[in-house]
Amino acid sequence: MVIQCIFEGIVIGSILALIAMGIALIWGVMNVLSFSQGEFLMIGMYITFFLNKKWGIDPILSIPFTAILMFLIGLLIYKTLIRKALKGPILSQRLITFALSMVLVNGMLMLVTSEFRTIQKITFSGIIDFGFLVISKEKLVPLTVSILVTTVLFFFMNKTNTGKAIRATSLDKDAAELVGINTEFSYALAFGIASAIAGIAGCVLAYYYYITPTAGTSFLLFGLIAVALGGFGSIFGAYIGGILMGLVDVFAGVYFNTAFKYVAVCVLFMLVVSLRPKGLFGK
Amino acid sequence: MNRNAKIICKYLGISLFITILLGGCTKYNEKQIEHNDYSQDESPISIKESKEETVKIGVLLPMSGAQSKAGQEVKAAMNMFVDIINESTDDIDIPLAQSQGLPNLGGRKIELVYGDLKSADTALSEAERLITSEGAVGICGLFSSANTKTAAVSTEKYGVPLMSEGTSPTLTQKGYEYFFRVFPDDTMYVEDSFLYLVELNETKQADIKTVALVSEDTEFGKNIANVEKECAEKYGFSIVENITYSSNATNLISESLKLKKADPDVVMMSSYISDVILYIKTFKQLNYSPKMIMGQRGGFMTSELFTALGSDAEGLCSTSAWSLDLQIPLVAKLGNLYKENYSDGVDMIADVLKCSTDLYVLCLAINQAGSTDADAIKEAMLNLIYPEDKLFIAGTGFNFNEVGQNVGTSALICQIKDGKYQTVYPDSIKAYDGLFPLPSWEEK
Repeated sequence: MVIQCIFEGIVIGSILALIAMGIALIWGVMNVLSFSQGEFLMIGMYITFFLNKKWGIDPILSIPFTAILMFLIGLLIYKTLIRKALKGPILSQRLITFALSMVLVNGMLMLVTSEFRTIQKITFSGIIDFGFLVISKEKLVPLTVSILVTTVLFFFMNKTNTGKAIRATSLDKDAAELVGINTEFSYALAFGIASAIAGIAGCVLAYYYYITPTAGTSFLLFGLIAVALGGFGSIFGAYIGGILMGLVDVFAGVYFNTAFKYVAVCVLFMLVVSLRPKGLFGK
Repeated sequence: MNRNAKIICKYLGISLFITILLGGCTKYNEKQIEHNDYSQDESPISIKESKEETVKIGVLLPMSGAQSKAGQEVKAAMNMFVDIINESTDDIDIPLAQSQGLPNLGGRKIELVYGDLKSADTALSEAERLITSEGAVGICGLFSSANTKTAAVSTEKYGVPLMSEGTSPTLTQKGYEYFFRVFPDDTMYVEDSFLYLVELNETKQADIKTVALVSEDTEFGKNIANVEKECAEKYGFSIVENITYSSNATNLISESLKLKKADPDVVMMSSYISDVILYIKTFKQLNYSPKMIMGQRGGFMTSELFTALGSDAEGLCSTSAWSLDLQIPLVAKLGNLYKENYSDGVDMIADVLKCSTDLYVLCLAINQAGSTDADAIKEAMLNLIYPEDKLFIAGTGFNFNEVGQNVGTSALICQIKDGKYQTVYPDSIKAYDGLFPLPSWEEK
C-alpha cells in the first residue's frame, strides 16, 4: 500500500506541478498572480477533447498543437489585457487574471454547456499489476510529460539567451532594460509559455479526468499552494511543491482520514511558511 | 430679497412639495401593504388572479453553472406537461390532458415563470421574487434538500405551496405548512437498497455480508450515510469502511485505495456526477471491482453518466423513483413524447420526471381546489383524487399525509444494462434479472 501511495502521490503531484510552474513563472517575471491558470488548463482539455472527437487524435499527439495554440492565446491575452493592467494600480494587476478566469469559465459554459465529457479513445490504457503496485498506463502519461516539461523549461530558462533574458527581467526590470533586454518581449514570452504549460497539463489531465468548464478551478488553489510551498518564482521549487502536495494528499487520506486530507496539505503549507517564509526553494 | 435668496426659496418650495407628495404616496403604499398583509384573508395573489388569465407557477432551475444541463432537461419536461394541460392531448390519457387549461378555473392556462437556482441563498431570494413580483401561486423546481430549506423560508412566509424532491427526511419533520414531496425520501430509498441485498442473499445466494459507505460531505451525503448506518445494522450487514469526502475533489485516490484495502462486498455511494465519474475511473485504474456499486441517486441519475463513462458504467446500480422500463403503458408514451418533441433525442431520466411530475401534481391540486388560494390548494393536495389506472409512476398514487409526503409512492432499484437503467427491484415490476456480482475490469 505504501508503494502504491507513493506512485499515486507523485502522479497527482506532477499535474499540480505543471499548473504551479506556470503560476511561478508569471509571478517570478512580472509579479502578477495568475488566477486564470486553472482556466487555461480547462481550455487545453477542451482543445484536446475536440481534436480527439473530430479526428480521433490521441491526447499525447495533440500536445504540440495545444501548446502552440495556448501559447498564442497567452500572447494575445498579454497584449490586450495584462500589459494594460500592469500600467494600472496594484489592485488591477492582482485582480485582472481573476476577472479573466470568470469570463473564461462562463464563456465556456455558454459555448459548450456544463456537460461532463471524457475522452474514451486513448492509446495508453490498461494496467500493469505487480500485486503490491498497480500501475495505470494512463497515469504514466502525466508523470512522463511533467518531467519532460520541467526539464525543458529548466534548460530553456538557464541555458538559452532568451531564458536568461527572462530571468534578468524578473530580477531587475530597469537594469535589464539598461543592458538592452527587451523586457516587454520577456513579459509576453513568459505569459505565453505559462499558458502553453497549462495547455499541456490540460492535454495530459484529459487522459483520465472529466472535462467541464469548471474542471480547472479546483486545481488552481492547489497550484497556488504548491508555488508557495516550493517558493515563489522558483520553477524547480514549484515542481517539488506540487509533488510534495500530491504525496501528503494521498498519505493523509489513506492513513489518517479522507475528510481531512486537504487539512493536512494546509497544515504542511503553514509549517513551511512559518519555518521558511519564502518557501522551500524561494530566495 | 436678493437673487440667491429667491433661488433658495424656490428650491425649498419645490422640495417641500415633493416631500408632501411622496409622504402621501408612502401613506398610500402603507395602506396597500396593510391590505396586502398575508395573514389577512385576501392575499395579493387573489387580487391578481381576477386580472390575470393564466395561472402562474414559479419554477426554480439551475440556468447557469455546472447544473445547467440538468436544469434544461427539467425545463423541457415541464414544458411538455404544460402543453399537455394547456392543449387538448388525446394521446396521453391522464387527467387534465383532454381539456384545455384548468377546467375548474374556467379553462385558465398554466404559465411558468422562471428563477435561476444558483445556490441555497438564491433559492430564497428567487422564490420570493417569483411570489411577490411574478404572482406565482406555487413553486417547484430542481431542488436539493439544502435549497428546499431556504426556498421554504419564502414559501412559508407568503403561504405558497412548495413542491420539492429534496430527499432529506428532515424536510417533513420541520413543520412546514405548504411543503409537498411526491416521491420517496432517503429513508425509503435506503431501506429498499438493503432489502434488495437481502433478496439477493436469499434468491441468488449472493453471500453479501459487508458494506462500505461513501458519502460527499454536504447535507445530501451526510443524511443518507446516517440512514445507511441504521439500515445496515437493522438488516445485519457489517460496515467495513465509512468514507466522507469533499465534493468536486481534484482526485479521489486515497478514498479508492481505502475501499480497495477494506474490500467490501457492496460500495454504497452518495455522490454528484463529477465524483461518480472520477470514482469509477479511479477504480478501473486501480483494478478494483467490488461485487456491487449501489448509488443513492445524485450523480448516478444523470444522463451524463452514460456519455462520460461509456461501457465502464455497465452494471452500476442506483436507487430510483422512476424508470423508462416500468411496465406501465403511460410511461413509454410520456417517454417517447419527451424524447421526440422536447429533448432533442435525450431519454427522460428519473430526476427529470420527478420534477416535472411535481408541476403536474400541483396543477391537479389547483384544478381540484378550483382556486389559487394556498389553503384551498393544500386541502385539495391532501385529498387528491387520481385514478390508479392512469398512473405513470411506481406505487399506488398521490396520497399525501399531513406532513406533505406522498405515501403512495415506492422506490426502485435500477441497474445499467446496454447503456440504460433497467429496473431490477422490486420483483413485481422488474424488467431485468440483474447482474451480480460485477465482472472484473478485464472481463467487461
